Amino acid sequence: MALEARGLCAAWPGVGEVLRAVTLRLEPGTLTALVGPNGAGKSTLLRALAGLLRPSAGEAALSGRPLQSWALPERARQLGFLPQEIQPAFAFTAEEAVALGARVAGHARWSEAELTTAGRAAVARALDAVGAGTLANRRLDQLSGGERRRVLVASVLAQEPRWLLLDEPAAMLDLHHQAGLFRLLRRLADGGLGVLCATHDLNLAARSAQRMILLNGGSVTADGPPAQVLRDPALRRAFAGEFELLEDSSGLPAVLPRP
Amino acid sequence: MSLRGRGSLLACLAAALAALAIAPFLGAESIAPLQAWREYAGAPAAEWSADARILALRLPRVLFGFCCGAALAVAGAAFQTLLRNPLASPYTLGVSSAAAFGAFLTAALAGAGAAAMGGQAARAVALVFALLETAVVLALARRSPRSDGLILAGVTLSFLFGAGVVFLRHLASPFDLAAMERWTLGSLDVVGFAPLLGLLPWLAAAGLLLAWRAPALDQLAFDDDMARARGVAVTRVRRETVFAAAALAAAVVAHTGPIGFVGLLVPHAVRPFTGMRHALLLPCCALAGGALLVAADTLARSFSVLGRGSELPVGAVTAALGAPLFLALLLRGRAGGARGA
Repeated sequence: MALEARGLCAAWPGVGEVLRAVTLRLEPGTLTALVGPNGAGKSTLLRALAGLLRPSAGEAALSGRPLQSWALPERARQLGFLPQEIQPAFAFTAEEAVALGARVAGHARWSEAELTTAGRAAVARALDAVGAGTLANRRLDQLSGGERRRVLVASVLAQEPRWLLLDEPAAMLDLHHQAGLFRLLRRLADGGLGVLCATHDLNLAARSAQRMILLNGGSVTADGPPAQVLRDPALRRAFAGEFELLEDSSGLPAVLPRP
Repeated sequence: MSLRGRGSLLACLAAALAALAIAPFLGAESIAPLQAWREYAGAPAAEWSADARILALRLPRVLFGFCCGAALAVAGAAFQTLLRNPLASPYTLGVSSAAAFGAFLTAALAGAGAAAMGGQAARAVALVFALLETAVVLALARRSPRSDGLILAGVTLSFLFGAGVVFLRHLASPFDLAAMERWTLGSLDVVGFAPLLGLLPWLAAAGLLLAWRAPALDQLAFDDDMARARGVAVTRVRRETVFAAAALAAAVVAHTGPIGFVGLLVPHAVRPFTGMRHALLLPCCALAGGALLVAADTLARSFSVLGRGSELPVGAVTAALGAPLFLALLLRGRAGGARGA
């Protein structure tokens, strides 16, 4: 029951190789932070692991089976994916958006238009989990960036997948909600979910995740416990050395950007 | 079903039933409703009074108009979702230009243009051109790496057929030109139930497909990537539903010429009440679209009271009614819940 990339390569037309033979194995029950500079290939890796991208070489596999060979609905019950940004063309309410996820978990009656009682409870639970319970009836386009982000995370949670592939779920979140979100992700991982989360917040990731993968130039350049990755020279190379490495009171390394 | 959902559906159903029940008895000639109906329903045709005969002329037209309005509104709602564009209409991908080209071409080739325009052959050719055009648009979009390839291909082909229409009009005799002009304005002027029966199979097939895909349309309206991650075969569903929606529009346009605004306006008017669930949105659009077009056509028929002897083109009435209504929706900020509106 692992999610794997085996020699995964991906290329964009006009850009060239974005992923260069990435091989990694993710285990359930682990919160893994995916870090790296802009353009390192984090989003592409997440999309490939979600089965949304046909690799130019290599493959992504879930439980030993290549993702492309899974039936789509079956795969959707395993893998929950949150893209970096979405632009709904119409004004969904927060509740409607989360309900779209709850349908995947089978919480819907005829034609999937109506959620079951359990489905409505799942929607409420997912919204509460990200502290967005009070936003249920608000329109997504009238929420703040951070509020909208939390609702979208809730919509993936409502899918009740075994894996969460989240592309910068904490972007635009205030400190309080960032910390809350990472606590939630860790709790879900401790409950048995596999969570892979792209983020630029190295410190928060280091304090929540059990594993950190550093992607640079389309390759994995460091992979291990967060404390080890933060001290790895590869991190300095990835971010052009523009940070100081400190230690907090518990002895964990912390990264401080250098102006 | 939620209370709001049930309310929306009931309101649309009431509007549809009211339109269907009242419209046949209104028009340029006033008739005695109860007596006309009793004769029409009960007596042999030979014994009908003038009122019953008028009713017999109006009934098929009202039913036909209802089906056309329903089809246009459903096609409009589907296209707005599929093109992720609140301004999309059933004609955005060029169905009406292709149908016009087909109808005009038949008129030009048949020689007797004016008579041919309303005939079976013109309808069939218009329908074939509209469906072929849609197929070409889908094929082009498939080859385009762009996410907006569909709308660009549609608009391009629409221009191409528009050019063909201009060419045919340039060659046409003044008499034919008048018939073409008339066709372009849209009309529900049908005699008997045959046009309705010709339309129904298309409506049933395309309507069923859209109903079956309604849950997937909800996901598509939200986000393509998330829809794909949630198990929707995005490319295939989009191809199927675009074709179904285009077939709805094509079947109507081939019969009536382009009738505007129903497909644009109705989804926007209905969406704030139904939300984005297509399993509710599409049936509500069908009922409300049917009611709106029947109402507009009743007005169009009634205007011959003004003494010109010929009725108004229904397309002019829908535009005249639709534009201010659409503006009102926009200014109230509820234009179908379009983003940013």
